[in-house]
Amino acid sequence: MISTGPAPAGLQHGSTIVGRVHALMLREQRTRFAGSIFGYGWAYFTPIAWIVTIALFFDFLGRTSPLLVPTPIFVATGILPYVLFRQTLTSMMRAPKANRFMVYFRPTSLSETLLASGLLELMNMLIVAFTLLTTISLMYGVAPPDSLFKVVIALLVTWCFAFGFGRFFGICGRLSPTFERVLPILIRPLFWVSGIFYIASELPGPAQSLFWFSPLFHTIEYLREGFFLGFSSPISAIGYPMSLGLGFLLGSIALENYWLRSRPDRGVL
Amino acid sequence: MIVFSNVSRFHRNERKVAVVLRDISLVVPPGGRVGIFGSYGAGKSTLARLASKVEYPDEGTITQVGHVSWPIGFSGFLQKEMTGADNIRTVAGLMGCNSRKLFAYVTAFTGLGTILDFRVGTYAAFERDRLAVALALAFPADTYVMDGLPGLGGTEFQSRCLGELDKRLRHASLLLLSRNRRHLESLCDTFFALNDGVLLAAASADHAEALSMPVIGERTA
Repeated sequence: MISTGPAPAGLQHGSTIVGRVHALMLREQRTRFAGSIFGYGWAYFTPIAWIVTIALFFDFLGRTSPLLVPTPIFVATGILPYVLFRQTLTSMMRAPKANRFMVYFRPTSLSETLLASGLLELMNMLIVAFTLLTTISLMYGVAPPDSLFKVVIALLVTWCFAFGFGRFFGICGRLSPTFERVLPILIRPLFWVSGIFYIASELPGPAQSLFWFSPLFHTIEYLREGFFLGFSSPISAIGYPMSLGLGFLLGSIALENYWLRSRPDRGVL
Repeated sequence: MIVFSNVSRFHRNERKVAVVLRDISLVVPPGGRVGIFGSYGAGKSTLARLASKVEYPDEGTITQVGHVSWPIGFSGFLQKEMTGADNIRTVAGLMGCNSRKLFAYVTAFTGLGTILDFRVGTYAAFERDRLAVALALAFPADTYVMDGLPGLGGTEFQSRCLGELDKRLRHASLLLLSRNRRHLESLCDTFFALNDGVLLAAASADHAEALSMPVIGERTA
């Protein structure tokens, strides 16, 4: 930004989108768990605790893995994409309100606050995924992933879907707070229909056809295909969640333009 | 430079629509110092946000030429859970400037010193206002938008701010919205009154004050 006015030495400014998104990510890191005893450690501890609890519960029920692998690693490969989806979504739903005054620093925009929030969650969850999968693999002597590439792609596609979905509903939340309340109810069934505790081939035909529409089922099974040698699933069309995420992303751009014009929330983000 | 052309702004809830600004046309020319007097609830802050393009009009258009500041005097962007120093770093990142130089400028200007190492939530109101004003004044602009001038903990610091602003205005223009006639007199050369969302031209700051009247609790449906 070039200005004719005098400025204190060195304070001529000219921000880039990368700089602004980075500043927003740091801001979120500094504030989200401010004042709590472990600080930002909660960002890693919470999903790890969630995953470990579910794995223990699965074990407690006496269920065994349908694949010839230890139960904890089977559950972890199912729950990780789901937690990535939920954490990204929750974070992006919260971001517009938490950063509502950041648009004062133009050209910082709503889009950038959402992007920063989504990227931070991706970063957190990649660290969580690496820590958890490595720890369980070492504890139970599981072989490293058959295809690390497929594992990473599965996580990235999950994030892309969550980002598009989160962006769409994050902006919907600005249009009406009803969306913020309805969304958790809408997405709750995903926990049960996404193959976290089972694999697609265990399902009867009609259920398999119905659950095929769950985008997370595809990413979870794709991740397992990458992790476990020889495993192949009839529900692992990775293009489906990707397309769905892209559709939500495009929809969110149209919605954002509408919101910028109407501003039912008195304009202050 | 800022140009408002037939700008209107409404606030809505489920049942009612309130007119906040009605058909405002206004030019803040290069080098101009435009002062608008308005009582509580007259629409000053909304007009300031529109001028800075933080908010958008329901009708009409607003054109900015050059860089326009965010409304000076607003401190809502300071995150209470972060220290003053971390807030400075965030602003530096968003504005793309060197955070150490910004920190040095704010420290020297505000005199807040080690207070900046504490959470903003623990600050007295004037300390928070000082930090916010210093951050706004740190960045050069072609047009400064000012939504009143907070108390800032005494007339000495307030005078320092006005002096700093006056220096900047040798090369920039100003849109000042205030309910303090003396501030308008000392900084502006063109005057308006904002009365129930309607902008009225005035000959002087006194005249602008006379044209304005309290509107608390009133909203035109």
